[in-house]
Amino acid sequence: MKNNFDDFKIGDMSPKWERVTGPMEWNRFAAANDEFYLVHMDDQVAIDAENPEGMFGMGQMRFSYIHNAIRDWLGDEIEVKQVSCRYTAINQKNDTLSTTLKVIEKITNEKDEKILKLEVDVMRQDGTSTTPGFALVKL
Amino acid sequence: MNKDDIDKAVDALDKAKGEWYRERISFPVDFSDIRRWAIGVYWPEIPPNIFVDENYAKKTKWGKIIAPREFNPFAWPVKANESNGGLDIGLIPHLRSMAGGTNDVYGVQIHIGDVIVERSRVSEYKLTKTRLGQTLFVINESEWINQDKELVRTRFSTGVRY
Repeated sequence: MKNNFDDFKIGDMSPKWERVTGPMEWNRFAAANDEFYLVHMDDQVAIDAENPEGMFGMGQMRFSYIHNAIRDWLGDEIEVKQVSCRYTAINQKNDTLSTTLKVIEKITNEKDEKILKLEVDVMRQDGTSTTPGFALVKL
Repeated sequence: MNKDDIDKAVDALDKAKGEWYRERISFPVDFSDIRRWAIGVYWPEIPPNIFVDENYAKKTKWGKIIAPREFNPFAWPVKANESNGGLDIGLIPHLRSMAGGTNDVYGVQIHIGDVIVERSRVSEYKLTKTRLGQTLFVINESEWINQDKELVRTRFSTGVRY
């Protein structure tokens, strides 16, 4: 695992962080986050809410996957300063979600902190972008 | 949504905009809260030791267990209706909603025993026409401060109401 600022260059990509998700994963997240919305629990409710494939995953869980990917790539002693993303598509039952991170800027701030700006996203297996955004990470 | 709903929603948002309107206090963060969160978001893989192994965490620069950055210390209030910090839910009834985005700016880490105070307000809103028809984008701002008066997190969450 590399986390020396000088070792990174613009365009560096993280290893792919991947999960297949469905009710087993969603229920565990719901229990931790106290997030019990029926569109994530009941096929018919989700169909009535205009998702023909039934219940679907949580955007907030994909947000956690971005954090997981950052930590697994850069280590336990980094400090995530900001994560910003949009939920542009939903993830369906048993989708394979892949989180990708790309270094788009290297910043040394006024406190001489070394910060990577990362482009972030969680993609479905068909290449659909679901959670595009950016993160600022102090090494 | 119909015009009445729009008018009511915009009126409520105009009145609420910029005013801190809700404050709540978390229970002290427990080791098991952090452990369960970490297991939940890493399932079916084993979560990192920094969240679940006190001996490992002692050897890091943190010196103790940290919570995942996106951890929610407000889960499982005794009164279920206090579980949702999304303040626009109450301001804009009768509309369908979905999450539009999350923008977190982080301060200090959360550790076991921390007590977090949250306050929330409508940061801004925009009414525009989308493929869903007339659509409201409401940005809620929620601020977390710990028992030492340190900023833990500021979250700007975008709610889409239509």
